[in-house]
Amino acid sequence: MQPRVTAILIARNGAAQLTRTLDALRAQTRPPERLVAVDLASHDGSAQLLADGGVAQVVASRGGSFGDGAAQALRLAAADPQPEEWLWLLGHDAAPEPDALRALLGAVEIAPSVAVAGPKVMRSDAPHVIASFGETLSGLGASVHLVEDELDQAQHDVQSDVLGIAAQGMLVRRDVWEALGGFDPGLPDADAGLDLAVRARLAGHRVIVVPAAKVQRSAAPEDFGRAPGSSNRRRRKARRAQLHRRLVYSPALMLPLHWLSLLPLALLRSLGHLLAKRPLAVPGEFAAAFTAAFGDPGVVGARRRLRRAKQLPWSSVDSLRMPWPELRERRAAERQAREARLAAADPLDVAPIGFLPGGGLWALLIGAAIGVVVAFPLFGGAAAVGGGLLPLANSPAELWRAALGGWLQDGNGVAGPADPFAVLIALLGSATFWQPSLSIVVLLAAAPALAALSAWFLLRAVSRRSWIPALGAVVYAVSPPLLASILEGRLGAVIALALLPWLLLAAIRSIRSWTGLGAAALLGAVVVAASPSLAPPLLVAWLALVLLRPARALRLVFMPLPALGALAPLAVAQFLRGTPLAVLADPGAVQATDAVEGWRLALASADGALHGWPAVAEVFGFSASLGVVVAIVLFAPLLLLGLLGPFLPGAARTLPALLLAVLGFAAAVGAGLLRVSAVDDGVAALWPGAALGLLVVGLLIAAAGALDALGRGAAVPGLALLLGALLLAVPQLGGLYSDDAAVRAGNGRVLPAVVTAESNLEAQVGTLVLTPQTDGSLRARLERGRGHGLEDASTFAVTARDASERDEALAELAGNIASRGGYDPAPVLRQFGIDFIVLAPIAAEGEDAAGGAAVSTRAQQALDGSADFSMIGSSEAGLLWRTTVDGIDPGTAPAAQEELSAVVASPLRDAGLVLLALAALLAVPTRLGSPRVRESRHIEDEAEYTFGEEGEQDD
Amino acid sequence: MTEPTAARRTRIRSVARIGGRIVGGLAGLGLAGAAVLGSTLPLPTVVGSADPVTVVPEAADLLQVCAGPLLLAGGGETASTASPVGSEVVTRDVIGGDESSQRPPSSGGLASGGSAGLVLRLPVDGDDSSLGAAQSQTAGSADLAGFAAADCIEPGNDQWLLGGSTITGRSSLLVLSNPDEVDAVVDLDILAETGAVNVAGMDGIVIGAGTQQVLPLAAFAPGAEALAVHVTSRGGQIAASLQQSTVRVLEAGGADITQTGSAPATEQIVTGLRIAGGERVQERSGEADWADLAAVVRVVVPGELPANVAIEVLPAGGSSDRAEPAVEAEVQPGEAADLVLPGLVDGTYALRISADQPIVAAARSAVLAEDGATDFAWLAASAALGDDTVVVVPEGPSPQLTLANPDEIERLVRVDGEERTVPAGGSLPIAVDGGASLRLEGAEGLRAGVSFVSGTQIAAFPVEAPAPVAGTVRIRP
Repeated sequence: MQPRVTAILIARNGAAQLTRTLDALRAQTRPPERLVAVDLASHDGSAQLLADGGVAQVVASRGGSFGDGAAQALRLAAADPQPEEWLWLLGHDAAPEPDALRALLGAVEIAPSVAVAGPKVMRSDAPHVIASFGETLSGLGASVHLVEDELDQAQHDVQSDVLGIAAQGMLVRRDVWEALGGFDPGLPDADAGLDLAVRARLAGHRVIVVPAAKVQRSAAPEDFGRAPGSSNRRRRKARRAQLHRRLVYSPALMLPLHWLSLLPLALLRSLGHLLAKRPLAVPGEFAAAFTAAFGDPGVVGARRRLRRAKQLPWSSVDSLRMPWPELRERRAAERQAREARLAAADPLDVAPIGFLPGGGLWALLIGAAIGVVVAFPLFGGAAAVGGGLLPLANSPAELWRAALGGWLQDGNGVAGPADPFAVLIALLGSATFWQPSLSIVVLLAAAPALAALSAWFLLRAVSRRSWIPALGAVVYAVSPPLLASILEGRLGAVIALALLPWLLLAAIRSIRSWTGLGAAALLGAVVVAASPSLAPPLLVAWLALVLLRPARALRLVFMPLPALGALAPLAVAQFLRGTPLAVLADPGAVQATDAVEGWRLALASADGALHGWPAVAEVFGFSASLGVVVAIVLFAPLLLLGLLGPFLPGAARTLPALLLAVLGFAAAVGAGLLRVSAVDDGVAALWPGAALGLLVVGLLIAAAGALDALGRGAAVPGLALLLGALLLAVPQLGGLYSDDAAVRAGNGRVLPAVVTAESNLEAQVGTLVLTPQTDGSLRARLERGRGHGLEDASTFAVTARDASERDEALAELAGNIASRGGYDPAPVLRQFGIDFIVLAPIAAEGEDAAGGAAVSTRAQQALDGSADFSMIGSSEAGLLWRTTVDGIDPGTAPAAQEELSAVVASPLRDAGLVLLALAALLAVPTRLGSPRVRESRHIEDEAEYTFGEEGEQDD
Repeated sequence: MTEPTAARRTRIRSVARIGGRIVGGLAGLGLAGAAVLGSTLPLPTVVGSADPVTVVPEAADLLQVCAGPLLLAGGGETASTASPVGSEVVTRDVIGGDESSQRPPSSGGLASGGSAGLVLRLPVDGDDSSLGAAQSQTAGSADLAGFAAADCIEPGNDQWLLGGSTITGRSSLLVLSNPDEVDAVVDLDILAETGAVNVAGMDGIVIGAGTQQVLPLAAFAPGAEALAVHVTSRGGQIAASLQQSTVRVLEAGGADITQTGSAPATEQIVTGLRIAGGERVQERSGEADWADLAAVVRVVVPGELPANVAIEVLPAGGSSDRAEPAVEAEVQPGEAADLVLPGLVDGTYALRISADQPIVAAARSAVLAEDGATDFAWLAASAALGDDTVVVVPEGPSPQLTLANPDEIERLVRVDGEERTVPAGGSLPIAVDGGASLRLEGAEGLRAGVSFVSGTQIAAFPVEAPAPVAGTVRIRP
C-alpha cells in the first residue's frame, strides 16, 4: 500500500519563516497527503498567515510545546488513523528541501523495521552547516549530538542507524506514535525527539537518519518560537531534561537513590561550574535539581508509558551509545576549537612578554638578594621580635585557636572577635609547622622578592617593552614603604605591600574574566585583613571602577564582599562598642606612631625621617637639611615621571594610576589623623606606610606608562629612576644591622624562661607584667601561659576606650604592689590567679628613660620589700618575682561572656569564611571553562563557526 | 586649498586626543598639588582616649625606728659584740590611734640580754595620723660617757652616715635595724679619708626581718681617721645609725649617735651647730689625740668628679646677700674630707655647704669642760621640710630648735601657733622644752635642727623631712 503522510506544521511566533516553509511544503516532489497546522498561541499573526497560506486545517492551540502541538493536531484535526499512515513533524522554520519527503519515504520503504526516520537538519542562517544529524546517549545518560555545527561535506552521509534524532522534520509511523504515546509531556523542548526515538528502539523498532533529506531550523529546540535565550537558560533546560529522563529511565529499585542524589549532585556540579568560571550557571543547576525532585509530576506517567512500550532490555541499545573515549575526545576537540575561536577573535589579547625573556627572573633574583641583605640579622634566632613583631605560639593548633576563637588573650582578657590578621598569622605559622615563628623571618626575607614579582606582573600589563617591568619591579622591591615596614616589623603592611600590585592586576583583569574577579576578591580580603587602613582607599578605587564600567557592575559587586566579610565581625563588635573607626587600626603588636607632615608623606616617608638620609648626613658631619635635599633629589625621578605620564600617549592607563597615587596620599594623611590604639604612654596613629605603598604603585604605573610612551628617549629617565630608587634605599638596607634597630632576632620567649617552663605544667599560669613608661606611669598587663604572642595581638583590645571593671581591679592591684603600703594583694592575686610578677625594662632609651626610672625603682623596691613576693631573678624580659601567697589557682580561662557583639559576630565570621571560599574557587585558574568573558559586541562578520552558545555571551 | 575631509577629521581627532591628554595631565598635576597643600591644613583628628587609671596606694603603717641605747664595743661576750650602757629615754608624739612598740631581737653584734632600739608602729587611720619620736641618753660609765640624742627615723633604702673614726680609742658601731617583714640585703660602701675601703664582707649583709644588727666599723676599716658609710638595702628597708664613742687613754671622751641627713645634692644646710667654749676647744684641739675636738665639716663627693666646696655661715640675723664663704676647698671624689671651720664665736649656727657636684655633708662640734670632761656631736645636713612638721624634742640640756632659711625671701613660720620670722639667708634659733613635741607650720623648704649643749654635754640632730609617702601612681591597663 502507498503510505499516507500527514504533515503536522507547528507554528509559534514564526511569521518570519512561515511563508517559506509553506512554499517549501507546496514544492515537495512527493507532497504530503494531509497538512495540519497548529498555532501555539502566536501573537505575531502566524495563525492568519497559516489560514491565508491555504492550509486546510489550522488548529488554534492555547499554547504548549512542540509535542503538545503535535498531539493536539492529531486529536483534533486528524483523529482517524489510516493504515500505513506516517506523521511528518515540522516546525515553522522547517523549510524542507523539495525532495526531503521523497528521500525519507524512500528510506523507510526499503526498511520495514524502521519506525522513525530523521532528516539532516541544517541551520537556517547558514544552510550548508548541519545543525543536527542524529543524537545519542552517553554511558550515564547525557544527551550527545552526533553532529553539531559542521559544514556539510557529505562526511556523515554514511550514517544510518542512530539512537535518537531531533524532533524537527521527524517522520514517524502513526501506530508506533500512538503506541508510544507521542512525545513525553515532561520534555517540552530539549531531548523530546531523542526520548521518542529511544523508546521506539526499546519497543523493537529501528531509528534511522536519512542524509538525502534536508530540513532547516533557525534555533535550538529550547528556543523554538522564543527570543534566543542565554546559555545559562539553555544549560538549565538541558539539565532539567536530563534529570527527567534519568528518573524515567532508571530501574524502579534505583529510583529512590537517583532522587536522593539530585541535590548533592547539583552541589557538586555547582562547584564544577565555579571552577570552570561559570558562576551564573549555579542558580540554574539548583533550579533544575529542585524541579526534577519536587516539581515533576510527569515522571509517573512517563514511566508507565515506557513500561508499556518496552520490549527489549536496555542493553540492546548499548552499542549505539557513545563510548567514553570518544566522548572525551569529542569534548577536548570542542574545547580546543572554542579557545582557538576566542583567541583569534579577541584583538586586545596581544601576547604579553614572557617571564624569562622579559627580565622577570632578574627582578625576582634582585628582590631576593635585597630581602636577604635586609633581613640577614634576623637569621639564626628562634623568632624575630621587636617593633610590631612578637614570637608565635609553638604549635599551629594554638595559632588557629587564637584566630578562630572568641576569647582573646591580649590585654586583660577581653571578650571579642579576633582580627582577621590572626587568620593570616595562622596560615603563615602552619606553613612552617615545626617552628611557626620561622615563617615570619622567612616572610620578611622574601618580601622584597614577592613584591618584585607582583610588581613585574602588574607592569607587564602596562608596558610592552621588556625592560620596563623589570625596572619597575626592582624599584618597587626597594621602595621606601616596603623597606620601612620590614625594618619596623609591621608584618601586616609587609604582606599588604607585597600583594598590592597583584591585587591591582587582578582588579584590572576582573573586568573581563571571572578568574580575575575571584583573584581580586581573594587578594582584596588578604590585603584588607593584613592592613585595614587600606580598606577605605581600596573601596574608593573599587567604586571608581564600578562607575567606569557600569556594564560589569553586577559582577564587580562581588569584589569587595570577601574583604568586607573578613572585617565584618570586628566591625560589628567595634560599632556596638562605640568605637567604629577603630576597625581600621593596624594589627600586630602596637607601636608608637605619630602623624607626619604632608610633604614628607609625599616623598613616601612613612615616619617622616626621609628614609634615613638626614641622619646619614649628620653622621658624616653635614647638616640634616642636606640629607633632606638628597632624599628629595633621589625620589624626584619617580615623582616627575609619574606626573608626566598623563601627558603622554597611553594616558588611559597612566591618569587613573596617578589618581590612585593621589588617593593613596590622601589615605596616608588620613591615617595619621586616626589615633585609636593605646601604646606605651599614649595613643598611636595608624601607620601611613601601607597607603604610601599605594602611592608608590600608582606613581610606578604612571611612570612605566610614561617610559613606554617615551620610546627611544626613555633610556635616560629610566636609568635615573632606577639609580634614584636604589640610592634612596641605601640607608634603609642597613637598618637592621644597627644596634638600636627595632626588630632583632630573639629567643622566641615573651616572658622569662621560668614562666615559660611553668606554663608547660600549668597552661594558664598568670603573670602580671609591669612596664614603666617614660611619663612615669606603669603599664600593667596580665598574661597567661607562655605569654601572648603575635597571634593574640588584638586591635579590639588595644582600641578599648574605657577601662573595664577587670582593668580597674588589675590597675588597683598593680598600683598597690608597685608602692610600699599596707595593701593586702592576696585576694586579688587569687581572683586573677597570678603566680608571677615581671617588671619589664623601661620601654625607651637614653634621656627618655629618666621618667620611667623613678617609677621602676619604686616598683622594684616595693616588690622587694613585700613579703608576698619573692624575687627569682632577672632575665631579658625583666625582673621576676614569684608570689608567695598560697591558694593561687589559675584554672582554666574564663568563659567568654556572651555579649551581643559576640553573638552577632559569630555567624558573620562564618559568612565571611564562606565568601572567602567562593572567591578562592573562582580564583583558581583552570582550563575547564571559557577563559574570559567577552564584552558583547557585534560579531556577525566573525568566523562562521561561532555559535551563540557555550558560555560566550552572557546576559 | 581644502584638505580632504578624512585627513582633516583624523587631524581634528589627534588634536583632540592631545588636548585631552594635556587637560588630563594638568588635572592630575593639579589634584596632586591640591592634595599636598590640603594636608597642611589643620584637619580633624580622631583620638581614642587611653587615660591611665590613677591608683592611690593604701598607706603603710607609720614607723619610727629608734637608735637604741649607747653601746660599748667589745663589751659583750666576744670582742665583736657590743653591750648597752644604760638605757635611753624615748619621747614620743602620737596622733590618731595607739601605737605599738617593741624592741626587735638582735641578729648579731649585740650581747645577749642587750636591748635593741625601739620600733614604734602606728596603723594609718585617715589623714591626721602622725607618729614622731626621739630619744636621748646620758651615759656616765668609765668606759663610755657622754650625752647623745637622736631622732627616731623612718627606714629607707639609701642612707649616708657621716661621722666617726676607727683610730685608737675611737669606736664606731653601725646599728642596722630592719622593721619590715622581709629580709633586707645590705651593701655597705665605706669611705675613709684615703679613699674607698675595699674589704670582703661589706656586700650582701642579710639583716633578718624584724631584727637589728650591730656591725663594728673597725672590722672593715681599722685606723681610719674620717669615715663615711653609704648604706643601701634591697628587700626590706633599714634604719641605720652610727654610734661613736671616744676614749682618750683611760678617760671617756664623749659619745654620739648620728643618722642619715639629706640625700646627695649640690647644696646642703647643716642647721643648729652649737659652739660653746669655742676658744678653749680650739686651743685644746691642737694637742695630739685631741684633734678631733675641732669643729669641722665632713664632706663626701659620691660621684666621679672632684667638687669645689664652699661653706658659708647663715647667721642668726640674716643677710640680704650671700656672705663671704668661710671655707673654700676642693674635695676629691670617694674620700671623706674634713674641712676645719675657722674660729666661730659661741652660738648657734646654720651652715650652707655648696659645691658644683652633688655632695653629702655633716658637721661636728665639741665642748670641753674645765675639768677635762668633753663631749662631741655630729650633726648631719637637714633635708627640706614639708609644710606641717611635728618636731619631737627629747630630754636634754638647754634644747634649741634652729630654723634655717636658705632662700632669698624671709619666711613666716608658726611654731606651736606662735608666729616667728626666719630671715632670708639666715637662721633662727628658738629655745624649746625638752621631752615635748611641737608643731611647725608653714615651714616648707626650710631646714631645722634640734641641738642640746651644756658645759659638758652636746648633742644635735636634724629634723627629719617627711618620708616620701608612696604617692599616686598611674596604671595603664
